[in-house]
Amino acid sequence: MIKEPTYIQLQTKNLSVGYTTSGKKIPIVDNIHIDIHKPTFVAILGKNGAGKSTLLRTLAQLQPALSGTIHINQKIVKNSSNDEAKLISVVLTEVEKGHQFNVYEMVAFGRSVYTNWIDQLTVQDKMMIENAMKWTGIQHLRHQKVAELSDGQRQKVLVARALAQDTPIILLDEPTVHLDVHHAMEMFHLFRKWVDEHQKILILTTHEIGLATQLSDEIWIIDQGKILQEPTVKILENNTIDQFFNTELIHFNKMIHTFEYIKTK
Amino acid sequence: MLVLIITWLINISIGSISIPLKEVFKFLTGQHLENETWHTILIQLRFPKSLTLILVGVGLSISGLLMQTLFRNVMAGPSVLGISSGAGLGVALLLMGSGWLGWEKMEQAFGQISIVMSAVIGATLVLLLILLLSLKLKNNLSILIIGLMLSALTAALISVLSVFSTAQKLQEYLFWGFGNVSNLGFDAILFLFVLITLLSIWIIKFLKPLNLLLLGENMAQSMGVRLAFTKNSLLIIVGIIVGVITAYVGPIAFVGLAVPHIARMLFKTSDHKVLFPAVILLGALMMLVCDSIAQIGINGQVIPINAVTSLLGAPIVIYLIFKQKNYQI
Repeated sequence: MIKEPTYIQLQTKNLSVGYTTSGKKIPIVDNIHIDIHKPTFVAILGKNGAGKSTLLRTLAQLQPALSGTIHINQKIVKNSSNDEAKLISVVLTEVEKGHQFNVYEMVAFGRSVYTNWIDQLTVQDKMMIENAMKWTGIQHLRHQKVAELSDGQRQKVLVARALAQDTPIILLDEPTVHLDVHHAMEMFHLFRKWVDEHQKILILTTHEIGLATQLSDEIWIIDQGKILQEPTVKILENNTIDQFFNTELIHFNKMIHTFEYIKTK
Repeated sequence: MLVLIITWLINISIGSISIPLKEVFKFLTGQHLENETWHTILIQLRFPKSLTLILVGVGLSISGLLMQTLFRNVMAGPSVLGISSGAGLGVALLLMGSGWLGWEKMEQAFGQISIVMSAVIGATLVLLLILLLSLKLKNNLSILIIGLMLSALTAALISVLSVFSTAQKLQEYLFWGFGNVSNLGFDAILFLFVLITLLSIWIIKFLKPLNLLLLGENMAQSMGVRLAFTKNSLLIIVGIIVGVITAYVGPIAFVGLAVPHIARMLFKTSDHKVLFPAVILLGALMMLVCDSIAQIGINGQVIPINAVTSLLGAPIVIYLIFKQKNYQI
Protein backbone atom coordinates (compact mmCIF):
# COMPACT_ATOMS: atom_id res chain seq x y z
CA MET A 1 0.00 0.00 0.00
CA ILE A 2 1.31 3.42 -0.90
CA LYS A 3 1.27 5.82 2.00
CA GLU A 4 -0.28 9.21 1.23
CA PRO A 5 2.17 12.01 1.93
CA THR A 6 0.94 14.21 4.79
CA TYR A 7 0.23 17.73 3.72
CA ILE A 8 -0.83 20.75 5.67
CA GLN A 9 -4.55 21.01 6.31
CA LEU A 10 -6.63 24.14 6.34
CA GLN A 11 -10.17 23.90 7.61
CA THR A 12 -12.89 26.19 8.87
CA LYS A 13 -16.01 25.31 10.80
CA ASN A 14 -19.11 27.49 10.50
CA LEU A 15 -16.91 30.45 9.74
CA SER A 16 -18.72 33.75 9.40
CA VAL A 17 -16.81 36.85 8.37
CA GLY A 18 -17.71 40.52 8.42
CA TYR A 19 -17.33 43.64 10.50
CA THR A 20 -18.25 44.79 13.96
CA THR A 21 -19.53 48.34 14.10
CA SER A 22 -20.32 49.84 17.50
CA GLY A 23 -20.92 46.45 19.05
CA LYS A 24 -23.14 45.19 16.25
CA LYS A 25 -21.92 42.31 14.15
CA ILE A 26 -22.46 42.82 10.45
CA PRO A 27 -21.83 39.53 8.66
CA ILE A 28 -20.74 39.66 5.05
CA VAL A 29 -20.31 35.99 4.27
CA ASP A 30 -21.83 33.20 6.37
CA ASN A 31 -21.39 29.47 6.66
CA ILE A 32 -17.96 29.05 5.20
CA HIS A 33 -16.72 25.48 5.32
CA ILE A 34 -13.22 25.11 4.05
CA ASP A 35 -11.55 21.74 3.94
CA ILE A 36 -8.24 21.64 2.11
CA HIS A 37 -5.84 18.81 2.81
CA LYS A 38 -3.55 18.77 -0.18
CA PRO A 39 -1.62 21.34 -2.25
CA THR A 40 -4.27 23.50 -3.84
CA PHE A 41 -4.50 26.71 -5.83
CA VAL A 42 -7.72 28.47 -4.88
CA ALA A 43 -9.06 31.57 -6.61
CA ILE A 44 -11.74 33.56 -4.79
CA LEU A 45 -13.95 35.42 -7.25
CA GLY A 46 -16.71 37.92 -6.66
CA LYS A 47 -17.84 41.36 -7.58
CA ASN A 48 -16.45 44.43 -5.87
CA GLY A 49 -17.55 44.55 -2.25
CA ALA A 50 -18.73 40.94 -2.20
CA GLY A 51 -16.44 40.13 0.72
CA LYS A 52 -13.47 38.44 -0.95
CA SER A 53 -10.89 40.46 0.92
CA THR A 54 -12.82 40.17 4.17
CA LEU A 55 -12.65 36.40 3.96
CA LEU A 56 -8.97 36.47 3.04
CA ARG A 57 -8.11 38.88 5.85
CA THR A 58 -10.03 36.77 8.34
CA LEU A 59 -8.15 33.65 7.27
CA ALA A 60 -4.95 35.67 7.68
CA GLN A 61 -5.93 36.60 11.26
CA LEU A 62 -5.87 40.26 10.37
CA GLN A 63 -9.45 40.66 11.48
CA PRO A 64 -11.47 38.56 13.91
CA ALA A 65 -14.00 36.04 12.66
CA LEU A 66 -17.57 36.92 13.65
CA SER A 67 -18.15 33.28 14.56
CA GLY A 68 -16.74 29.88 13.79
CA THR A 69 -13.17 28.66 13.86
CA ILE A 70 -10.17 28.29 11.60
CA HIS A 71 -8.05 25.17 11.93
CA ILE A 72 -4.57 24.47 10.63
CA ASN A 73 -3.52 20.86 11.01
CA GLN A 74 -6.56 20.28 13.23
CA LYS A 75 -5.49 23.01 15.63
CA ILE A 76 -7.58 26.13 16.12
CA VAL A 77 -5.77 29.30 15.07
CA LYS A 78 -6.63 32.17 17.40
CA ASN A 79 -4.43 35.17 16.91
CA SER A 80 -1.33 36.05 15.04
CA SER A 81 1.96 35.02 16.56
CA ASN A 82 5.39 34.19 15.31
CA ASP A 83 4.42 30.51 15.10
CA GLU A 84 1.41 31.34 13.03
CA ALA A 85 3.56 33.50 10.75
CA LYS A 86 5.56 30.39 9.95
CA LEU A 87 2.37 28.78 8.63
CA ILE A 88 0.63 31.61 6.79
CA SER A 89 2.13 34.40 4.73
CA VAL A 90 0.03 37.26 3.45
CA VAL A 91 0.25 39.61 0.48
CA LEU A 92 -1.95 42.67 0.79
CA THR A 93 -2.78 45.26 -1.82
CA GLU A 94 -1.99 48.21 0.35
CA VAL A 95 1.54 48.69 1.62
CA GLU A 96 3.22 51.52 3.47
CA LYS A 97 5.59 53.44 1.25
CA GLY A 98 6.89 55.76 3.94
CA HIS A 99 10.25 54.08 4.40
CA GLN A 100 13.58 53.77 2.66
CA PHE A 101 13.92 49.99 2.47
CA ASN A 102 15.27 48.60 -0.79
CA VAL A 103 13.92 45.57 -2.64
CA TYR A 104 16.41 43.16 -1.12
CA GLU A 105 15.67 44.32 2.42
CA MET A 106 11.95 44.06 1.72
CA VAL A 107 12.16 40.49 0.44
CA ALA A 108 14.47 39.68 3.36
CA PHE A 109 11.70 40.69 5.77
CA GLY A 110 10.02 37.46 4.73
CA ARG A 111 12.78 35.64 6.56
CA SER A 112 12.39 37.70 9.74
CA VAL A 113 10.01 35.06 11.05
CA TYR A 114 12.96 32.68 11.27
CA THR A 115 15.88 34.98 12.07
CA ASN A 116 17.25 35.69 15.53
CA TRP A 117 16.55 38.82 17.57
CA ILE A 118 19.04 40.93 15.65
CA ASP A 119 17.61 39.74 12.31
CA GLN A 120 20.80 38.04 11.13
CA LEU A 121 20.41 36.20 7.82
CA THR A 122 21.86 32.70 7.56
CA VAL A 123 23.19 31.19 4.32
CA GLN A 124 19.88 29.40 3.92
CA ASP A 125 17.94 32.64 4.46
CA LYS A 126 20.00 34.34 1.76
CA MET A 127 19.38 31.46 -0.61
CA MET A 128 15.63 31.69 -0.04
CA ILE A 129 15.72 35.44 -0.68
CA GLU A 130 17.64 35.02 -3.94
CA ASN A 131 15.30 32.25 -4.95
CA ALA A 132 12.19 34.34 -4.24
CA MET A 133 13.60 37.24 -6.28
CA LYS A 134 14.47 34.89 -9.14
CA TRP A 135 10.97 33.39 -9.17
CA THR A 136 9.35 36.80 -9.41
CA GLY A 137 12.01 38.21 -11.75
CA ILE A 138 12.99 41.19 -9.63
CA GLN A 139 16.70 40.44 -9.16
CA HIS A 140 17.69 43.47 -11.20
CA LEU A 141 15.73 45.73 -8.83
CA ARG A 142 17.46 44.58 -5.66
CA HIS A 143 19.12 47.89 -4.78
CA GLN A 144 16.13 50.08 -5.67
CA LYS A 145 14.02 51.62 -2.96
CA VAL A 146 10.61 49.96 -2.69
CA ALA A 147 8.92 53.34 -2.52
CA GLU A 148 10.37 54.35 -5.89
CA LEU A 149 9.08 51.33 -7.83
CA SER A 150 6.02 51.27 -10.05
CA ASP A 151 2.87 49.75 -8.53
CA GLY A 152 3.34 46.61 -10.59
CA GLN A 153 6.97 46.16 -9.62
CA ARG A 154 6.09 46.73 -5.98
CA GLN A 155 3.43 44.06 -6.20
CA LYS A 156 6.03 41.57 -7.41
CA VAL A 157 8.28 42.52 -4.51
CA LEU A 158 5.46 41.84 -2.06
CA VAL A 159 4.83 38.45 -3.62
CA ALA A 160 8.57 37.71 -3.45
CA ARG A 161 8.53 38.64 0.23
CA ALA A 162 5.74 36.14 0.88
CA LEU A 163 7.54 33.43 -1.12
CA ALA A 164 10.66 34.04 0.96
CA GLN A 165 8.58 33.52 4.10
CA ASP A 166 8.17 29.97 2.74
CA THR A 167 4.96 29.10 4.56
CA PRO A 168 2.77 26.11 3.70
CA ILE A 169 -0.18 28.47 3.30
CA ILE A 170 0.02 31.67 1.30
CA LEU A 171 -2.83 34.17 1.05
CA LEU A 172 -2.83 36.93 -1.55
CA ASP A 173 -5.29 39.81 -1.83
CA GLU A 174 -5.59 40.77 -5.50
CA PRO A 175 -1.90 40.17 -6.19
CA THR A 176 -2.12 41.10 -9.87
CA VAL A 177 -4.33 44.17 -9.66
CA HIS A 178 -1.58 46.58 -10.73
CA LEU A 179 0.01 44.32 -13.33
CA ASP A 180 -0.52 44.45 -17.08
CA VAL A 181 -2.00 41.39 -18.83
CA HIS A 182 1.38 39.98 -19.70
CA HIS A 183 2.74 40.20 -16.16
CA ALA A 184 -0.51 39.06 -14.60
CA MET A 185 -0.36 35.88 -16.69
CA GLU A 186 3.24 35.36 -15.71
CA MET A 187 2.33 35.79 -12.06
CA PHE A 188 -0.53 33.27 -12.22
CA HIS A 189 1.80 30.84 -13.92
CA LEU A 190 4.27 31.38 -11.09
CA PHE A 191 1.56 30.66 -8.50
CA ARG A 192 0.64 27.44 -10.28
CA LYS A 193 4.28 26.34 -10.33
CA TRP A 194 4.80 27.34 -6.70
CA VAL A 195 1.85 25.22 -5.57
CA ASP A 196 2.95 22.22 -7.64
CA GLU A 197 6.67 22.31 -6.93
CA HIS A 198 6.58 23.29 -3.28
CA GLN A 199 3.29 21.61 -2.25
CA LYS A 200 1.65 24.76 -0.95
CA ILE A 201 -1.87 25.89 -0.33
CA LEU A 202 -2.30 29.16 -2.19
CA ILE A 203 -5.47 31.20 -1.90
CA LEU A 204 -5.92 34.46 -3.76
CA THR A 205 -8.67 36.90 -4.52
CA THR A 206 -8.77 38.18 -8.06
CA HIS A 207 -10.79 39.77 -10.83
CA GLU A 208 -8.77 37.85 -13.44
CA ILE A 209 -11.53 35.30 -14.00
CA GLY A 210 -10.01 33.97 -17.20
CA LEU A 211 -6.67 33.28 -15.58
CA ALA A 212 -8.36 31.72 -12.57
CA THR A 213 -10.39 29.29 -14.69
CA GLN A 214 -7.26 28.28 -16.59
CA LEU A 215 -4.83 27.78 -13.73
CA SER A 216 -6.59 27.26 -10.41
CA ASP A 217 -7.67 23.98 -8.82
CA GLU A 218 -10.67 25.36 -7.01
CA ILE A 219 -12.83 28.42 -7.47
CA TRP A 220 -14.83 29.99 -4.67
CA ILE A 221 -17.43 32.50 -5.77
CA ILE A 222 -18.76 34.92 -3.19
CA ASP A 223 -22.10 36.51 -4.02
CA GLN A 224 -24.73 38.13 -1.79
CA GLY A 225 -23.43 36.70 1.45
CA LYS A 226 -23.08 33.17 0.13
CA ILE A 227 -20.06 31.24 -0.95
CA LEU A 228 -19.93 28.57 -3.62
CA GLN A 229 -16.89 26.33 -3.52
CA GLU A 230 -16.27 24.00 -6.46
CA PRO A 231 -13.35 22.45 -8.31
CA THR A 232 -12.47 24.61 -11.29
CA VAL A 233 -13.28 21.79 -13.72
CA LYS A 234 -16.82 21.63 -12.38
CA ILE A 235 -17.23 25.38 -12.50
CA LEU A 236 -16.40 25.30 -16.19
CA GLU A 237 -18.56 22.27 -16.85
CA ASN A 238 -21.64 23.85 -15.31
CA ASN A 239 -21.07 27.30 -16.81
CA THR A 240 -21.15 28.65 -13.26
CA ILE A 241 -19.19 31.76 -14.19
CA ASP A 242 -22.01 32.84 -16.46
CA GLN A 243 -24.56 32.44 -13.67
CA PHE A 244 -22.74 34.92 -11.48
CA PHE A 245 -21.06 37.35 -13.76
CA ASN A 246 -23.04 37.61 -16.98
CA THR A 247 -25.01 40.66 -17.86
CA GLU A 248 -27.15 41.45 -20.84
CA LEU A 249 -24.01 42.58 -22.61
CA ILE A 250 -21.43 39.91 -21.93
CA HIS A 251 -21.00 36.22 -21.32
CA PHE A 252 -18.05 34.01 -20.42
CA ASN A 253 -16.61 31.99 -23.29
CA LYS A 254 -15.10 28.99 -21.54
CA MET A 255 -13.28 27.81 -24.66
CA ILE A 256 -11.02 30.84 -24.64
CA HIS A 257 -11.49 31.75 -20.94
CA THR A 258 -12.58 35.27 -21.76
CA PHE A 259 -15.68 37.38 -21.45
CA GLU A 260 -17.05 38.52 -24.77
CA TYR A 261 -19.85 40.71 -25.96
CA ILE A 262 -23.04 38.99 -26.88
CA LYS A 263 -23.48 39.69 -30.56
CA THR A 264 -26.73 41.39 -31.21
CA LYS A 265 -28.55 40.98 -34.46
CA MET B 1 32.22 58.90 17.79
CA LEU B 2 35.40 60.95 17.50
CA VAL B 3 33.38 64.01 16.60
CA LEU B 4 31.27 63.39 19.67
CA ILE B 5 34.28 63.26 21.97
CA ILE B 6 35.78 66.43 20.51
CA THR B 7 32.45 68.23 20.83
CA TRP B 8 32.21 67.02 24.38
CA LEU B 9 35.64 68.46 25.21
CA ILE B 10 34.81 71.76 23.55
CA ASN B 11 31.50 71.92 25.37
CA ILE B 12 33.20 71.44 28.71
CA SER B 13 35.82 74.05 27.95
CA ILE B 14 33.48 76.92 27.08
CA GLY B 15 31.37 78.98 29.41
CA SER B 16 31.56 82.28 31.23
CA ILE B 17 35.10 81.27 32.18
CA SER B 18 36.73 79.43 29.33
CA ILE B 19 39.15 76.71 30.24
CA PRO B 20 41.81 75.56 27.72
CA LEU B 21 41.12 72.21 26.05
CA LYS B 22 44.44 70.90 27.28
CA GLU B 23 43.38 71.45 30.88
CA VAL B 24 39.99 69.83 30.25
CA PHE B 25 41.74 66.79 28.84
CA LYS B 26 44.02 66.68 31.87
CA PHE B 27 40.98 66.86 34.15
CA LEU B 28 39.18 64.06 32.35
CA THR B 29 42.20 61.76 32.60
CA GLY B 30 41.98 62.13 36.34
CA GLN B 31 44.72 64.62 37.03
CA HIS B 32 44.30 67.46 39.46
CA LEU B 33 44.59 70.88 37.88
CA GLU B 34 46.97 73.48 39.27
CA ASN B 35 44.31 76.15 38.87
CA GLU B 36 41.92 75.39 41.76
CA THR B 37 39.10 77.55 40.38
CA TRP B 38 39.16 75.68 37.08
CA HIS B 39 39.15 72.37 38.85
CA THR B 40 36.14 73.35 40.94
CA ILE B 41 34.25 74.66 37.92
CA LEU B 42 34.93 71.50 35.98
CA ILE B 43 34.00 69.05 38.68
CA GLN B 44 30.98 70.93 40.05
CA LEU B 45 29.51 72.55 36.96
CA ARG B 46 30.85 71.68 33.54
CA PHE B 47 31.39 67.94 33.90
CA PRO B 48 27.97 67.09 35.39
CA LYS B 49 26.30 69.47 32.94
CA SER B 50 27.94 67.81 29.95
CA LEU B 51 26.83 64.39 31.18
CA THR B 52 23.30 65.69 31.61
CA LEU B 53 23.37 67.08 28.08
CA ILE B 54 24.47 63.73 26.66
CA LEU B 55 21.81 61.78 28.57
CA VAL B 56 19.06 64.23 27.68
CA GLY B 57 20.07 64.21 24.01
CA VAL B 58 20.19 60.43 23.90
CA GLY B 59 16.90 59.98 25.74
CA LEU B 60 14.91 62.49 23.72
CA SER B 61 16.30 61.28 20.40
CA ILE B 62 15.49 57.66 21.17
CA SER B 63 11.96 58.71 22.13
CA GLY B 64 11.62 60.68 18.90
CA LEU B 65 12.75 57.73 16.79
CA LEU B 66 10.35 55.33 18.52
CA MET B 67 7.44 57.74 18.19
CA GLN B 68 8.07 58.46 14.52
CA THR B 69 8.07 54.75 13.77
CA LEU B 70 5.09 53.92 15.98
CA PHE B 71 3.00 56.66 14.44
CA ARG B 72 4.66 56.34 11.04
CA ASN B 73 4.68 60.09 10.97
CA VAL B 74 7.64 62.35 10.31
CA MET B 75 6.22 65.01 12.60
CA ALA B 76 5.96 62.84 15.71
CA GLY B 77 8.19 63.77 18.61
CA PRO B 78 8.06 63.84 22.39
CA SER B 79 6.68 67.36 22.43
CA VAL B 80 4.05 66.63 19.78
CA LEU B 81 2.13 63.91 21.60
CA GLY B 82 1.57 66.25 24.51
CA ILE B 83 3.78 64.23 26.83
CA SER B 84 6.13 67.13 27.49
CA SER B 85 3.13 69.39 28.02
CA GLY B 86 1.70 66.89 30.47
CA ALA B 87 4.92 67.04 32.41
CA GLY B 88 4.75 70.83 32.20
CA LEU B 89 1.24 70.86 33.59
CA GLY B 90 2.36 68.71 36.48
CA VAL B 91 5.11 71.15 37.32
CA ALA B 92 2.82 74.16 36.86
CA LEU B 93 0.28 72.65 39.23
CA LEU B 94 3.00 72.17 41.78
CA LEU B 95 4.74 75.53 41.43
CA MET B 96 1.79 77.82 40.82
CA GLY B 97 -1.18 75.88 42.08
CA SER B 98 0.27 74.73 45.37
CA GLY B 99 -0.79 77.98 47.04
CA TRP B 100 -4.52 77.42 46.77
CA LEU B 101 -4.37 73.65 46.51
CA GLY B 102 -2.71 73.51 49.92
CA TRP B 103 0.35 71.71 48.64
CA GLU B 104 2.82 74.30 49.83
CA LYS B 105 4.03 72.21 52.72
CA MET B 106 4.67 69.30 50.41
CA GLU B 107 6.56 71.48 47.99
CA GLN B 108 8.73 72.91 50.74
CA ALA B 109 9.42 69.52 52.22
CA PHE B 110 10.48 67.78 49.04
CA GLY B 111 11.84 70.58 46.85
CA GLN B 112 13.46 69.25 43.71
CA ILE B 113 12.03 65.76 44.09
CA SER B 114 8.48 67.07 44.15
CA ILE B 115 9.08 68.76 40.79
CA VAL B 116 10.40 65.52 39.31
CA MET B 117 7.49 63.56 40.71
CA SER B 118 4.85 65.96 39.48
CA ALA B 119 6.37 66.03 35.98
CA VAL B 120 6.58 62.26 35.76
CA ILE B 121 3.00 61.99 36.98
CA GLY B 122 1.85 64.61 34.47
CA ALA B 123 3.67 62.93 31.58
CA THR B 124 2.46 59.48 32.54
CA LEU B 125 -1.13 60.64 32.85
CA VAL B 126 -1.08 62.16 29.35
CA LEU B 127 0.55 59.01 28.06
CA LEU B 128 -2.05 56.78 29.71
CA LEU B 129 -4.77 58.93 28.19
CA ILE B 130 -3.17 58.54 24.76
CA LEU B 131 -2.79 54.81 25.32
CA LEU B 132 -6.46 54.47 26.25
CA LEU B 133 -7.51 56.52 23.25
CA SER B 134 -5.23 54.54 20.96
CA LEU B 135 -7.12 51.39 21.92
CA LYS B 136 -10.30 53.07 20.69
CA LEU B 137 -8.79 54.88 17.74
CA LYS B 138 -6.76 52.65 15.49
CA ASN B 139 -5.81 55.58 13.30
CA ASN B 140 -2.39 56.99 14.09
CA LEU B 141 -3.20 60.37 12.65
CA SER B 142 -6.11 60.82 15.05
CA ILE B 143 -3.84 60.01 17.96
CA LEU B 144 -1.36 62.62 16.79
CA ILE B 145 -4.12 65.21 16.53
CA ILE B 146 -5.29 64.30 20.03
CA GLY B 147 -1.72 64.77 21.21
CA LEU B 148 -1.73 68.25 19.72
CA MET B 149 -5.07 69.01 21.34
CA LEU B 150 -3.76 67.82 24.69
CA SER B 151 -0.79 70.16 24.28
CA ALA B 152 -3.17 73.05 23.64
CA LEU B 153 -5.33 72.03 26.57
CA THR B 154 -2.46 71.85 29.03
CA ALA B 155 -1.11 75.17 27.76
CA ALA B 156 -4.50 76.73 28.43
CA LEU B 157 -4.69 75.19 31.89
CA ILE B 158 -1.25 76.55 32.66
CA SER B 159 -2.37 80.04 31.58
CA VAL B 160 -5.36 79.78 33.89
CA LEU B 161 -3.10 78.69 36.72
CA SER B 162 -0.76 81.59 36.13
CA VAL B 163 -3.60 84.03 36.80
CA PHE B 164 -3.94 82.71 40.32
CA SER B 165 -0.27 82.46 41.10
CA THR B 166 2.12 84.96 42.63
CA ALA B 167 4.70 86.71 40.46
CA GLN B 168 7.49 84.82 42.15
CA LYS B 169 5.92 81.42 41.51
CA LEU B 170 5.17 82.34 37.92
CA GLN B 171 8.80 83.31 37.44
CA GLU B 172 9.94 80.03 38.95
CA TYR B 173 7.78 78.14 36.50
CA LEU B 174 8.92 80.23 33.54
CA PHE B 175 12.55 79.52 34.35
CA TRP B 176 11.81 75.81 34.52
CA GLY B 177 10.15 76.17 31.13
CA PHE B 178 13.30 77.67 29.60
CA GLY B 179 15.11 74.43 30.27
CA ASN B 180 18.06 74.13 32.57
CA VAL B 181 20.64 71.41 32.25
CA SER B 182 23.10 72.59 34.90
CA ASN B 183 21.17 71.88 38.09
CA LEU B 184 21.50 68.13 38.26
CA GLY B 185 23.50 66.52 41.04
CA PHE B 186 25.51 63.38 40.48
CA ASP B 187 22.84 61.16 42.00
CA ALA B 188 20.25 62.47 39.55
CA ILE B 189 22.68 61.98 36.67
CA LEU B 190 23.40 58.43 37.80
CA PHE B 191 19.67 57.76 37.99
CA LEU B 192 19.15 59.11 34.46
CA PHE B 193 22.09 57.05 33.20
CA VAL B 194 20.84 53.80 34.70
CA LEU B 195 17.29 54.46 33.54
CA ILE B 196 18.22 55.26 29.94
CA THR B 197 20.68 52.36 29.73
CA LEU B 198 18.13 49.86 30.99
CA LEU B 199 15.41 51.14 28.69
CA SER B 200 17.82 51.11 25.73
CA ILE B 201 18.60 47.46 26.36
CA TRP B 202 14.87 46.82 26.42
CA ILE B 203 14.46 48.70 23.12
CA ILE B 204 17.12 46.51 21.43
CA LYS B 205 14.66 43.64 21.78
CA PHE B 206 12.22 45.62 19.67
CA LEU B 207 14.52 46.63 16.80
CA LYS B 208 13.19 43.87 14.54
CA PRO B 209 9.48 44.58 15.19
CA LEU B 210 10.19 48.30 14.71
CA ASN B 211 11.45 47.63 11.18
CA LEU B 212 8.38 45.52 10.42
CA LEU B 213 6.10 48.23 11.83
CA LEU B 214 7.34 50.56 9.10
CA LEU B 215 5.66 48.26 6.56
CA GLY B 216 2.29 48.88 8.15
CA GLU B 217 0.55 47.28 11.10
CA ASN B 218 -1.23 44.60 9.07
CA MET B 219 1.99 43.54 7.43
CA ALA B 220 3.84 43.51 10.75
CA GLN B 221 1.08 41.47 12.32
CA SER B 222 1.14 38.94 9.50
CA MET B 223 4.84 38.52 10.13
CA GLY B 224 4.34 37.59 13.74
CA VAL B 225 4.72 40.95 15.48
CA ARG B 226 2.62 41.07 18.65
CA LEU B 227 1.07 44.40 17.84
CA ALA B 228 -0.55 45.51 21.09
CA PHE B 229 2.33 44.32 23.24
CA THR B 230 4.95 45.99 21.06
CA LYS B 231 3.09 49.29 20.75
CA ASN B 232 2.26 49.53 24.44
CA SER B 233 5.76 48.62 25.57
CA LEU B 234 7.30 51.23 23.32
CA LEU B 235 4.81 53.91 24.37
CA ILE B 236 5.57 53.21 28.03
CA ILE B 237 9.30 53.49 27.36
CA VAL B 238 8.76 56.83 25.63
CA GLY B 239 6.56 58.07 28.47
CA ILE B 240 9.10 57.25 31.15
CA ILE B 241 12.05 58.74 29.29
CA VAL B 242 10.28 61.94 28.31
CA GLY B 243 8.63 62.38 31.70
CA VAL B 244 11.82 62.01 33.70
CA ILE B 245 13.92 64.12 31.36
CA THR B 246 11.34 66.90 31.21
CA ALA B 247 11.11 66.89 34.99
CA TYR B 248 14.82 67.31 35.43
CA VAL B 249 15.71 69.78 32.71
CA GLY B 250 12.42 71.29 31.52
CA PRO B 251 10.80 70.85 28.13
CA ILE B 252 13.57 70.69 25.51
CA ALA B 253 11.97 71.17 22.12
CA PHE B 254 12.88 69.75 18.71
CA VAL B 255 15.80 67.52 19.67
CA GLY B 256 13.60 64.42 19.69
CA LEU B 257 12.00 65.46 16.43
CA ALA B 258 15.08 66.55 14.48
CA VAL B 259 17.73 63.98 15.42
CA PRO B 260 16.03 60.89 13.89
CA HIS B 261 15.64 62.84 10.63
CA ILE B 262 19.30 63.78 10.61
CA ALA B 263 20.21 60.13 11.23
CA ARG B 264 18.07 58.97 8.30
CA MET B 265 19.58 61.58 6.03
CA LEU B 266 23.15 60.66 6.97
CA PHE B 267 22.75 56.90 6.79
CA LYS B 268 20.07 56.76 4.07
CA THR B 269 18.28 53.85 5.66
CA SER B 270 15.17 52.99 7.63
CA ASP B 271 16.80 50.06 9.39
CA HIS B 272 16.49 50.54 13.13
CA LYS B 273 19.56 48.41 13.69
CA VAL B 274 21.49 51.28 12.12
CA LEU B 275 19.25 54.16 13.21
CA PHE B 276 19.12 53.30 16.90
CA PRO B 277 22.87 53.60 17.58
CA ALA B 278 23.06 56.51 15.13
CA VAL B 279 20.36 58.38 17.01
CA ILE B 280 22.13 57.81 20.32
CA LEU B 281 25.36 59.35 19.00
CA LEU B 282 23.70 62.19 17.12
CA GLY B 283 21.36 62.98 20.01
CA ALA B 284 24.25 63.44 22.39
CA LEU B 285 26.10 65.49 19.77
CA MET B 286 23.10 67.72 19.07
CA MET B 287 22.60 68.61 22.73
CA LEU B 288 26.30 69.35 23.23
CA VAL B 289 26.38 71.60 20.18
CA CYS B 290 23.19 73.41 21.25
CA ASP B 291 24.53 74.00 24.73
CA SER B 292 27.88 75.22 23.41
CA ILE B 293 26.01 77.75 21.29
CA ALA B 294 23.89 78.73 24.29
CA GLN B 295 27.04 79.27 26.35
CA ILE B 296 28.74 81.40 23.73
CA GLY B 297 25.53 83.37 23.71
CA ILE B 298 25.02 86.89 22.45
CA ASN B 299 27.23 89.62 23.88
CA GLY B 300 28.20 87.42 26.75
CA GLN B 301 24.59 86.73 27.70
CA VAL B 302 23.79 83.02 27.97
CA ILE B 303 20.73 82.04 25.92
CA PRO B 304 18.21 79.51 27.34
CA ILE B 305 19.03 76.11 25.84
CA ASN B 306 15.43 75.52 24.79
CA ALA B 307 15.62 78.55 22.51
CA VAL B 308 18.77 77.20 20.86
CA THR B 309 17.34 73.74 20.23
CA SER B 310 14.28 75.30 18.62
CA LEU B 311 16.33 77.78 16.59
CA LEU B 312 18.51 74.96 15.28
CA GLY B 313 15.99 72.12 15.19
CA ALA B 314 13.08 73.80 13.45
CA PRO B 315 15.01 74.94 10.35
CA ILE B 316 16.74 71.55 10.12
CA VAL B 317 13.39 69.76 9.97
CA ILE B 318 11.99 72.24 7.46
CA TYR B 319 15.11 71.90 5.32
CA LEU B 320 14.99 68.12 5.39
CA ILE B 321 11.38 68.01 4.34
CA PHE B 322 11.93 70.42 1.48
CA LYS B 323 15.06 68.67 0.31
CA GLN B 324 13.44 65.30 -0.14
CA LYS B 325 10.35 65.49 -2.22
CA ASN B 326 8.87 62.22 -1.09
CA TYR B 327 9.99 62.26 2.47
CA GLN B 328 10.29 58.78 3.89
CA ILE B 329 10.77 57.48 7.40
